[in-house]
Amino acid sequence: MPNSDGGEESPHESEAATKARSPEIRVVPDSASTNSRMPAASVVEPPASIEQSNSRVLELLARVRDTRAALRNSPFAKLQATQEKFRHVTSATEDAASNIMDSCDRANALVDALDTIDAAEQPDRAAALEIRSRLRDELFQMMSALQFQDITSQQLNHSSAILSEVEARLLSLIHI
Amino acid sequence: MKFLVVDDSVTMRRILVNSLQRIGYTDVVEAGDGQEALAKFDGSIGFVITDWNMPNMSGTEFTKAIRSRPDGATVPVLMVTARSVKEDIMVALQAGVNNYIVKPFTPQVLKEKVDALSPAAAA
Repeated sequence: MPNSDGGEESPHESEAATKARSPEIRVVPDSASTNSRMPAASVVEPPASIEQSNSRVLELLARVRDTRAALRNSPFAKLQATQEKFRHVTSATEDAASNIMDSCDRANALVDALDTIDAAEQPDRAAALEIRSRLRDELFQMMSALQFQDITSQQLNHSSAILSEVEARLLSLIHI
Repeated sequence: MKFLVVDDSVTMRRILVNSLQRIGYTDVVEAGDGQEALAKFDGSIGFVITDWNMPNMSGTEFTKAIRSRPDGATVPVLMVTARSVKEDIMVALQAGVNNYIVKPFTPQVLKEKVDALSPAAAA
């Protein structure tokens, strides 16, 4: 078996060589031997710290596998759906904002028309009545456009729940 | 005709009440979820408009509850919700909902649906 400096290492190193390399290693004496000088083929028991570390690593690996499987099974698929919901929220709010601003523009134009009628020597009351009716329609259109608030809040709440689930699973992975 | 409007969103209740007023209905009672609506429901209610997803009691649960009562067996129930999947619509109809509107809606659509369910209103 080659060693780190390229030379060949004997598979049967002495006790002194073993202890020099790793002082914490305790050499277990061969029960058949009564000589204090250890035979070359003694069983070397790993220190307790290495066994503990090995157990801990195995435990961590098992938890990582479990968490990865749990993430793959459900939250990842929901995360992809969440992205779509966020895109829909952005689109819905943009549309609503645009509709409301358009209604504001039309409402302002109608108010200007009413001002013109009022400024006339003989105001056309019928025209003013019709314009006020259209103005109320525009005001209602603005209110109706606010339905996006309910629709988007439901989608955001749903997405928030999914993100919380993923966060919890990731935290369990970090804290192992 | 007295309406019962059920929705956990304050914004949606205001929009529904305003929409009903625009089409001529001013006698409206509001509830924030199915439980509150069940407590407010009585024989004077002539039309129910309800959302689906609500805390404490959903719109479908509320509809099933009033359908089991003598004063709620035949009252028109219109569900206004963001859900639009065919399977969801079937679930709502099986719960006793008479018709369905998908948000966002226009007052014209609301009027058509109300008129279709209430011959007295159409008259």
